[in-house]
Amino acid sequence: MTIFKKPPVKTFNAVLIFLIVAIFLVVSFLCYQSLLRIDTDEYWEIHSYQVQGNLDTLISDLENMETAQRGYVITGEASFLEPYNIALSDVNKQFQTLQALTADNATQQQSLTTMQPLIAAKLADLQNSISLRTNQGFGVAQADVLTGNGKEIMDSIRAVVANMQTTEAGLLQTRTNDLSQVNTTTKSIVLRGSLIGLLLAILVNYIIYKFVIGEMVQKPLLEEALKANKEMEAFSYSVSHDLRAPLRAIDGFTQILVEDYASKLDDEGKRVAAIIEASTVQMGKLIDNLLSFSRLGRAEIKKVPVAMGALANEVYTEVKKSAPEKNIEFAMNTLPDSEGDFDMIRQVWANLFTNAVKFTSKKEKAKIEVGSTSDGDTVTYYVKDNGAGFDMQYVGKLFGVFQRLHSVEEFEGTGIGLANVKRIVERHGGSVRAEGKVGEGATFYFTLPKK
Amino acid sequence: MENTVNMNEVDVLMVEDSPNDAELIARALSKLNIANKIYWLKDGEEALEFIFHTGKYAERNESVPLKVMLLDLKLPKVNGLEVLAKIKADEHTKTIPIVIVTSSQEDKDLKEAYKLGANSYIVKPIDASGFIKALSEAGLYWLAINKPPIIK
Repeated sequence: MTIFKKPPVKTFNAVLIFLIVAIFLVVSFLCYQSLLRIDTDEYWEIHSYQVQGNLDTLISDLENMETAQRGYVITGEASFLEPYNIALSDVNKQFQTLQALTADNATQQQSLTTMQPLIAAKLADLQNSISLRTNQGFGVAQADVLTGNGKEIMDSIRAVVANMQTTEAGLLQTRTNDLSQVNTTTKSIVLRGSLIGLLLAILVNYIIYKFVIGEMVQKPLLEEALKANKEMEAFSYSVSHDLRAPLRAIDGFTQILVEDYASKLDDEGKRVAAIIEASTVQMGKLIDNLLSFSRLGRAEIKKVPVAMGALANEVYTEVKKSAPEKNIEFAMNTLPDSEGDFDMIRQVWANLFTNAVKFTSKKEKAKIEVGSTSDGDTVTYYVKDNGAGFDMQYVGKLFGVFQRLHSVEEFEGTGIGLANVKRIVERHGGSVRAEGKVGEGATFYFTLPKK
Repeated sequence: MENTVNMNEVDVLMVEDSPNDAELIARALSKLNIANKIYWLKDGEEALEFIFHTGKYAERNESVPLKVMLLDLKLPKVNGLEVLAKIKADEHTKTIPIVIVTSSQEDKDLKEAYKLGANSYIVKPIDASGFIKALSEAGLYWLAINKPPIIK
């Protein structure tokens, strides 16, 4: 059975699960990469701030020294030189730190190389000014300051520092931009990756539920049904073969008895032989009916539109041929069309008409009426007769297999007709029921879903 | 029912496990009043031994060709379809007319039998009268009307 094997679904599922795992691996890897990059960027950001801070301190040190020098030149007070000395020890430290921090950047190193002799010159100029004041007095020191040498050097240093600040600010901007770019990319990767992964997971779940679990539930049931069906087939086959053979022997040898030993059989012997023969014929019919009933339960229903009025008319005409001498008043109302297995629906009508004709056979004025009622999405068809009828307390037995409410002597038959009707109608999604009164007639109803 | 016919002068070979059916068939054929010698075998193994001159039938040396073989499908040891397949697969025996006589009217048996080369397929009628009538008519056709090929 192909239902049980679904390699495409299983393969598809495996591919999906592989995809999900792959997506989450890629997302995780990209996230990790981004985090590393953010780390590096942050390091460089802090680095840039550090460089800028050092440059500020360097300038401020030099300015402090200049202020101290000027104070000392004007006043001659040694106490003014205190900040000068503090700043002097710091200037070199700041310069060296800057050299180390910008070791990777050729432009900044170039600037520092330009700046180094300028700082040296500035420090020499300041020292010179202080020495002049100490040794030669205010006038000489003032004249030195007024030459503007010191200011010129300081302006050059400021220009270089400003240049370096601009460069570092540019770097900082690039790093900040990069950082925000990495942030955006990471967010997008995480969001999209998770979303795709989630959707695929839902899909896999759905497939697993629909096919794998569904299969697990259906498989045993289906297998059981198939097994039961197979057993039924084997049973039917064996019934048809094994029950018929001895029956034929009983019948055949009774015939031999009658034919070859006719002179030795008296009338009673011949009557007994006739009973044996009739019984074998009856049993043959029972076996055939049982087989047809079991086949009916297994046969596939091939649904086609059925013109019910035309079909019922045709079937009635055919059934009536079996009792041509009977005078039956047949009333046929308009029947709505239906949908079903043509041969099976035909059999329903045939069984109902055969019964109606059979059970009205003892009436002088036999009447059979066919009609229908419609209710919601079902149509109820009925066959009504004024025949022998039945006692409503036995209505439950009416549709059973081999159930009969009359003796064979009264009305012949095996009791399979209505069981077949019930089975066919129920397999079409409908239902059957009957109403009757002894001596007054019976009505048989069956419903079919509207097409 | 006993075989009274010489195994070398057989017209009709009947392979049938039911002695009752065998007797009814024999009776139907004997009532035809045409010359026919019926030989009865009870299972598929015997049938193959008879046809291929092996086992019990190694000494068989037929003087007249078989006119027809009546073959049941449900047989002990080797079933009818296997017997049919072996006879129809052999160059020397494939021309023997074989009529399937069985209770089975299953579609798959019918198809398989014809596919294997059965010359006719008769479903045993359930009632004895019908059965005897069917076998008489078939017997008349295969023994008096049909002309079998000369084998050898």
